[in-house]
Amino acid sequence: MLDYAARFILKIRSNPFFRAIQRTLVMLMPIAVLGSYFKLILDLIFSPEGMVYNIFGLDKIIPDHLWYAGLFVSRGMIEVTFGVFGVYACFFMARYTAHIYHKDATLAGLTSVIILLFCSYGSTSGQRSGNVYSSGILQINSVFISLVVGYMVGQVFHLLGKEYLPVKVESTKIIRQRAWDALLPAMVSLSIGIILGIIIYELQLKVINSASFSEIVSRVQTTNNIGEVIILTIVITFLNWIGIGFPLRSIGESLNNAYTAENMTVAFQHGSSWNVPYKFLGSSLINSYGVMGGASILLAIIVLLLLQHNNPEIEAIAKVNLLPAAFGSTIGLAVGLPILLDPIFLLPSMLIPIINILLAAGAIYFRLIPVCVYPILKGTPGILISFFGTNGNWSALFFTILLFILDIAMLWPIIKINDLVNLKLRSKEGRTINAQKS
Amino acid sequence: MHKNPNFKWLMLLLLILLLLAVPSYVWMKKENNARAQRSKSQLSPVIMVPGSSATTERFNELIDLLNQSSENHHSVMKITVSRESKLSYSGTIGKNDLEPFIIIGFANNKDGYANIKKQATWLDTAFDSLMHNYKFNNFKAFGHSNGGLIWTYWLEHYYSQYNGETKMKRLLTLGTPYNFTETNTDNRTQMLADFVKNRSKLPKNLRVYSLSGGKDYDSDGIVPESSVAAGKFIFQNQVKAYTAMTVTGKEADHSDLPQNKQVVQTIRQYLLHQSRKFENKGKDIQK
Repeated sequence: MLDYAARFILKIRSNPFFRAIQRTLVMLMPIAVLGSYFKLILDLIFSPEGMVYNIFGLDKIIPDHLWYAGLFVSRGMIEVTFGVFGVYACFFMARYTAHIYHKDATLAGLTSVIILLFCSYGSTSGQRSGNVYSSGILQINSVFISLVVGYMVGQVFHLLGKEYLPVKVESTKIIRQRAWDALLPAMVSLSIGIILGIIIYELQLKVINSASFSEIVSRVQTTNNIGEVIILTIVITFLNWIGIGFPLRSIGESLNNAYTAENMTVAFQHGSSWNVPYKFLGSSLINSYGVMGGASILLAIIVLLLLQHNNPEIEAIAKVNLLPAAFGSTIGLAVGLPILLDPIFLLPSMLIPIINILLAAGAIYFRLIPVCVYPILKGTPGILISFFGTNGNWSALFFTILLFILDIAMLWPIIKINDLVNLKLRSKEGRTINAQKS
Repeated sequence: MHKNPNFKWLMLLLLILLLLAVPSYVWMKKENNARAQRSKSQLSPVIMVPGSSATTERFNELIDLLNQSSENHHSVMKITVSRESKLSYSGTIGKNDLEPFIIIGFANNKDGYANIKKQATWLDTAFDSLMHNYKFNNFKAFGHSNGGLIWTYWLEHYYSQYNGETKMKRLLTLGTPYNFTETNTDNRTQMLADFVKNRSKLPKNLRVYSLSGGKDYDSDGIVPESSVAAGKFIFQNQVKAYTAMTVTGKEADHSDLPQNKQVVQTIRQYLLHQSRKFENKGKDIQK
């Protein structure tokens, strides 16, 4: 059974699109991990709603100018890692796609960066404060778009580019030849890119940002219907898996609307959250139990990988990401392993949150646990969100820990299949390399 | 069974979590108790009231214009008060937004002094609910046309009950007919007479801005300039500052005023919070 699944996954992953994505994301792992750590620091220390900032009263301890310096550094580092992640992603995506077909990979990468930046310019030039780098397209939360742009350029180079094999020492003459050879595919992809940019500009599409998904987000924040919550969870977790993380991020952030306010008012009046009017609010269920602030899947995978202890490279990635992932900064692992756009993690990324939500909703219905309504600090560890969200209810904590163990158990076979796939992939790649050598 | 060296990492994480969880727990209990006073103290909403015959959708264009060119995106919440004082909400106040726009409209949005009194009562119902849900200690008010009259009536009759809890820092009225359609200020309507009579109840620290439109030399097409100017009998030498301005040129019609560029500029300059230190603290990267 596992073997069958592994073979099926292997087949999908052998597709050039997924192959190039895997290589791109693995390549970008260091950038994503770097960003995750600065995000961790920003969330915990340099946010007014940060956990460490509040608990230890850093407001009074850290002098203002020092605090602003820290804010500047952590925000700036997030900008140059996560904020323009798409630039890096599309460069490597085009590069690896072209590389698969033995075309000039570097120039394909550059061409795709030009196109992506142009689209980004197109999407922001209508706004007064707009600049190329502030666009949502470039952010890590919409990395899917840059991967598609990169793939498209790679394919144009595949169809129109000249055969190219890397040489060790390049003379100016060879480089000039490369540049001329790349002219046709670069021009064709640029023309496509310009048309794309015009469409974006003319329609004033902001292409992708939290506002584009405001409908989904506002639905999930205001629905109290468990069926609707499940459907929205499927949509949001799917988008997150393909690399459009805006909807999922915004669930964790803006939790202050008429419904949560009413819940909170009732909870403050009664001193507990057992009898609040909206018991099954989508955002609360998804954030506290469904994705558990990133713990239900990402942290569970890290724990599994560390327990399994059989692949030093993967373990290193897991170890590096352990701390940020525990505090909800999970992108480092999602990119590094990768989990994004890896077919094997599609089903678990969607199913595990749903199972968690259904179990939690059942527990709330049977009054085993109260509802999460109290405000949560930024950077609260995923496993503790429900505990703090219920003003320290011990059964909620116990329930969440059980849920976390269940999630680990459900991910066990997935990791097994993944190992099998990687094993097969490695032997297959080994064979191709040997074949090329001979 | 040989020992897995990774256990120490997991144990270390568990230790960190426990070490953080204990003070968090203590902090959370204290915080949730003290929340009523502390929370949202940085929140300073702009509460907008449309004029007669207008709904909560009246300011959509104005809000778009205001949001277009400001670094801080203001979130929008709309509240409609029914004739039975039932509130229906739409929209969301962003968690990091310290200056959200809240629009309060009325199912009965008819003209006339009797209705303005009713609308002030409904405004107070909505305001009371806002005070309950969002613990802001100050706010800014904006009223277009009769919206300004509703605010004035509310200030004179309801505002004092929030004494010590919250205060109105600034009030900007736009084309507000303090003397209805009467052009001669010697002929004071009942409403203006009442406003002037009760003016001592107006807050001493309030700054008031009254904007009028000049389509021609004496009105904005609907409201006479002298009726807007009659606001001075209510506010002048009573509140901290009273400023009257007249906007002319294109879009100086009574109904165009909320989307007039000079008006938008004036609102931004006088009503909205200018970027200062603590606002940066509240603004966060949404990633």
